Amino acid sequence: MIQKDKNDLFIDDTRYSRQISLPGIGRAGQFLLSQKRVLVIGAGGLGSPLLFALAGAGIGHITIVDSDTVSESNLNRQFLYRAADIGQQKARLASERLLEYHPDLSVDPVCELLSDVNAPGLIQTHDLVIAAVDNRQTRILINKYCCIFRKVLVDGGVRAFSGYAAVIEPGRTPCYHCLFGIDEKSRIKDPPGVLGSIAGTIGSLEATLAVIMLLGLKNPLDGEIMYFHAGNMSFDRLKIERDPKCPHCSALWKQPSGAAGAREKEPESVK
Amino acid sequence: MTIKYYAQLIDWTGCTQEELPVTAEEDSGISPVSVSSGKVSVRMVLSALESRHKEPFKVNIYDSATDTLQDDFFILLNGRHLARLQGLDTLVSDTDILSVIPVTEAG
Repeated sequence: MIQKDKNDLFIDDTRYSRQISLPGIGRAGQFLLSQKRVLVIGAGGLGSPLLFALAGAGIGHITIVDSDTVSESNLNRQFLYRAADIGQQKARLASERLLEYHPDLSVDPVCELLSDVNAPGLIQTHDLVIAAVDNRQTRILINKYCCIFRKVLVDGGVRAFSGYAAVIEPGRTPCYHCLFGIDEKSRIKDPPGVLGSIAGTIGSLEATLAVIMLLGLKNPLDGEIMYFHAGNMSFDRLKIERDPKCPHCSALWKQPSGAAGAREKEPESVK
Repeated sequence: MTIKYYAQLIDWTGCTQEELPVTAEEDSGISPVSVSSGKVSVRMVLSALESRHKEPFKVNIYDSATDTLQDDFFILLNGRHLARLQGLDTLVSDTDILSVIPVTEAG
């Protein structure tokens, strides 16, 4: 039930009661989440758990970008889809499934490949970006525009029994290019195998990191990358250093304001 | 120095991290890369690790016989990619941290 409190915050107290009771969220935090726009690029193995988690958390608007269609080999981990969905557009189906789960959600499907043409407009108009993609080229593209528009980027990836999650705050943490942007070619020749539940684990971690960042809480990874390995059930953190010559983020480090402070300001390079 | 492994590297080496002295005296027998000069390269470290871990390391990460580093791994020295330093010729010291991580791109 949506209620207005003494501070004029419209919140569904019943649906979000388990979150509102948490320290660090409360009614103000829940209202804050309801005002946020999140761009999710990729509605596959990582996208399945994280999209449901974002919708459940009460994010105000979600845009889902994916040009792919559902194939049978997706179904071991992409539980947004059913066998009858094979051949249909993922972004459109994902939007429908989220609206079944949460009818009050605002969600836009974009059934396009992310490119230099559509990325600027999409990334600029959202508060936070989540990469849930399956290749390095797209991650590099997303990272480039997140640096230009100084948007927080939550990234994740999986392989076999392992995966990683990271939060990139342009100008405050090393960016994706600082570490992985050595070359833009993917080094994986064949589609890599992955245990379905690993994608679930990492996708859920990405959603958790996104909610924390949207609430304005401290970045729990603080520039480090978290790796999960199911072989020994370990979470390990990897400290990385920024590249002082990084073409995307090095100039941002010279500016005094952090990512949050500059979020609304359009950089000169994109005007 | 400290070598840290991530993801499936843990399975192949049987550990999450290990120590490899690189500045000990030449005859100490502490490690295959012990030298007195302190001039030890990443290549020498990888060769020593190959000797220590045998086949899994040789097949999956680095083969000293052909000087081949498999290209689906990243090697970082103190958080910086080797390609941004001097590659396998980058010199290391005993206080350095070498991290070996797999390319992880699927989603």
